[in-house]
Amino acid sequence: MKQRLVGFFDERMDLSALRRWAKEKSVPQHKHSFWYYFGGLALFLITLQIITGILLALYYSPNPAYAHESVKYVMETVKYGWLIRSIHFWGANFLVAVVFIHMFSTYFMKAYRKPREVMWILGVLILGLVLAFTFTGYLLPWTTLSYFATKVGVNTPSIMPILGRFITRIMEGGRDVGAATLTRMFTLHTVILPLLAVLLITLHVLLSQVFGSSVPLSQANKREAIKFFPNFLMRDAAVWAGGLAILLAMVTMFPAGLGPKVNPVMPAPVGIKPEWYFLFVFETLRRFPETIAIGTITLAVLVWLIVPFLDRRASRNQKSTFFTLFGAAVLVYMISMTILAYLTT
Amino acid sequence: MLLVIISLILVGTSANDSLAASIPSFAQRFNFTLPLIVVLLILMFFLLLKVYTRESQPSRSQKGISDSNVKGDGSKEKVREKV
Repeated sequence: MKQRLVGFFDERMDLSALRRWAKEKSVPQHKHSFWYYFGGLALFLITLQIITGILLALYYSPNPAYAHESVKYVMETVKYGWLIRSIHFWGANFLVAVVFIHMFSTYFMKAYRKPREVMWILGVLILGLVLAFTFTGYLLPWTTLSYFATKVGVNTPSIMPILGRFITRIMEGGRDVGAATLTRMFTLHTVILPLLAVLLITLHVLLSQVFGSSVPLSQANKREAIKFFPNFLMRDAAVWAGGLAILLAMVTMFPAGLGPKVNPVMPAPVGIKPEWYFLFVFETLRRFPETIAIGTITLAVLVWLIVPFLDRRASRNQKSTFFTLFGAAVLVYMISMTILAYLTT
Repeated sequence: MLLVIISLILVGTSANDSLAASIPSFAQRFNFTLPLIVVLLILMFFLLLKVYTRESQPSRSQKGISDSNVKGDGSKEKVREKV
């Protein structure tokens, strides 16, 4: 059966190139190979988010009068609705964590160095998209917390000169967060961002096939490699199975909650905090003057984006201690600000 | 394998279950997801075992077999010549 199926496609499309690719593709093996699995895991989680997202969209109504009720209906009435929404909720959290780990491991292994500069830029943009997904999806349940957190979020860019107010107005779709904002967030979350994500992820994955996995400079003399097909793919699949098992365990223990429906006339509750992945930005904005905080974060993101072009030593396959320290400083800052935000009431 | 299941049971006993009246209770959720988790963990170990078995076999070069006409499963492949 398998032979006949392969023969069917081979006769029509000539799969010899694909067969050659599968036979020749290998993945380097060294003491840091562990980090290679996070890219595949991120791709797996994105697929899971797409599937659960489509299922949720079948019931969701992007209208302030029905949004909260439609999510409540999914959670309480739709068969296994609680499971699908909880997987989507926890999947988003896992995805952000996995993409962050993938990015920092790529950074510290200097995998952004020539010829993978474009891959790095695409990767950073994909992280931005993932965060945009979480931000736009946050308002959709139309709860008190999601409403007021989004209000803070959409107003943050207005501090920026020139384009700030324009960005805020575009996101709000009016003078305040309301029906237009909900429709815009829903459109962004389900149409615009997925289209962009498919484009960027496809390019990122294609480039990773062209260049293969990068070997860290410290392991450059190691020549060991394993075949991608089937050995590495089976290892990858084992990681996905383990990841999904942990995700299901979290879903069982802590299913996604649904707060009370928002009443926009009421004052914002005290002590609202964003999700864990935005806490370092939140704390930075709270501790420093807004203009300085926004300016510094924007500059840091730009530097992060073009780091392969700044780190000339890595491009020449030389150690670049300065950029390792820079990455470590960014990581320490993000973690410490997140902890501070958690501890501060 | 056991770690995930044990933590599930331990945390589950202290889980706050006051989400919504109609959401299945922890016991119901646990009964539904536990078989899935067990299947996934068995699949994970099966895959790892298969990889380990494949990788622990001596490679073709170690056996002294050339790569040119041997298929992935070790059988000889007909070498086609271009006319």
